[in-house]
Amino acid sequence: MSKVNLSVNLAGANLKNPLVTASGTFNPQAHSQFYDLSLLGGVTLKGVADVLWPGNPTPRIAETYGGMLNSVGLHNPGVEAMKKEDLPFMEQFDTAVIVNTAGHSVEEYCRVSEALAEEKRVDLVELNISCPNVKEGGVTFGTDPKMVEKVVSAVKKCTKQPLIVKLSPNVTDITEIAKAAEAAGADALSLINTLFGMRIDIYRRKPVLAQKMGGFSGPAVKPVAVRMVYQVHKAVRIPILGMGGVMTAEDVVEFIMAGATAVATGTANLVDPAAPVKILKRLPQVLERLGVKDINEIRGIIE
Amino acid sequence: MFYDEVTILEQKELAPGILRMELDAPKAAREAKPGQFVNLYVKDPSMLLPRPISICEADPEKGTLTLIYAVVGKGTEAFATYEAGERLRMMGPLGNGFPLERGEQEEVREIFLVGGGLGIPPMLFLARKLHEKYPEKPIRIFNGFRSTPWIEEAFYPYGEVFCASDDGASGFMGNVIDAMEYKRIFTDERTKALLYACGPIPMMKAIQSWQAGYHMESWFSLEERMGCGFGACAGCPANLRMPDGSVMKKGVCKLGPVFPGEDVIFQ
Repeated sequence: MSKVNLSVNLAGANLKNPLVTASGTFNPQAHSQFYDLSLLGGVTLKGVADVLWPGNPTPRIAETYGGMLNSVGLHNPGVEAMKKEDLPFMEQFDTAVIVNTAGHSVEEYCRVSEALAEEKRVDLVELNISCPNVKEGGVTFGTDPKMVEKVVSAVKKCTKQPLIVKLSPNVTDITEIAKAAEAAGADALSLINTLFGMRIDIYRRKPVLAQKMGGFSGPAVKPVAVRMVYQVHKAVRIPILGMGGVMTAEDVVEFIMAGATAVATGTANLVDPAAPVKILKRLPQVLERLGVKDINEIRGIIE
Repeated sequence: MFYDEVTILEQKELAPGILRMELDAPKAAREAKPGQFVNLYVKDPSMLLPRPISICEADPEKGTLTLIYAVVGKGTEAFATYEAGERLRMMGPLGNGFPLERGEQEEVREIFLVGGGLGIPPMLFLARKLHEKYPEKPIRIFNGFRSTPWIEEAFYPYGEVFCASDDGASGFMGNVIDAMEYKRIFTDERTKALLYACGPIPMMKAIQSWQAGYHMESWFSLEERMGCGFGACAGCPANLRMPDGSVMKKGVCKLGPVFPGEDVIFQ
């Protein structure tokens, strides 16, 4: 066994290691076919609203160089269905559970938080005010500091678990948004959600996605994510769950050096379902090579 | 389900841009059912997503899987350059496959298999399995091509084969519906036909409206642009009509790709 300490504390939740899955790229039943979910620090369940959302028309997926676009549009079965299926399924695993929540309004976000309040299996709630694929709510709440403050302070009041606020990279100054979320009572921040992108099929003279535009993710976006984690870490005191194109153990270390407390794999979960455990296997070796005995000692070391 | 690297045993071009790949994949070959697919991963890491390819044949004894695919983009273009002996990452079998047990219904006296273009390869595996299971039930196989057929004789042992092509290069000039309509004359109106289909959306739509006039049960294998291929990303929903009239979305990769033909709502 490695002597390197990997355990971290994310807004009061003790994670056995900093590896978490990102929302919308992870399905507990599907991924548990490939590895024991208990190996992970935590998992984030797909964005869930108070009622079923049908999502967007297809095609919802397009590949790009080193990345992908999606316009799923927070297709989800509603919080009650998730409580009946996913939360009981997670009982068998010893890992933190983060539930990502979606809404078109403050009231809808609150209804989801309230529905989760008594759920012991939910360790953290992640407020998604950054989905680029829905017209109301989503990113419209996450791009204006005043709106962020309003939504976060209201949702914080109706959320029992520690509240993570997930930020959009599609803003001029992410530190402004981060500070607004912190001031409004966010216990942690997660970033980045997807960038807003587009692809055109030149032969058909049409956008590839039915929604024309969608969320851009994957290793191609990693430098943007690292930069934003670095900037936000300098601007706030609350912990950061860093994500954006993480594929390797070295990527995890990069995010932690930039200021992240925990790190999520997103697109990697779709590209190689076993990606997080492969990363975890290599992470102690990478840290040992760097002479690091406790992963917490390198957090935010970049000046 | 199998998920690891497999070795390519053979690659052969059947027609310009259409290739047959044989893989050494014993575990997947044992598990595979007609209508299921595998995820093939491109070796170039700039192409992240798997390419879902239907299983054309599975030989549990030899431990091989046969796939037929068309070069339609960068990923399949890369596949076409891989040679025998090379290894690539594969996941599968995936999806639910065709319900072969529907053939047990006594009133089902004949089985129609309808394939269009790249929807034809999975029909070969299905034809063989149906023939083995119900040797007494006639199988009528309708394959639609744009032009010259690139697979035909392989179907001969399992049923009566009809080819249709847009340009009349072989068999019927016209589509598979024309061919089936012609063939229908010989069928017994009192029996129920069981139909399995896989092909482009216009063909599936046409089958759906054509079958409405007949006593027929159909199962469609759908194609959709997929993200992960194993039920994690919600990228590939099909719209299905439920008995109460409501519309339900079901992931093509995990809950499909085969659905009851009457229930599918094409966009």
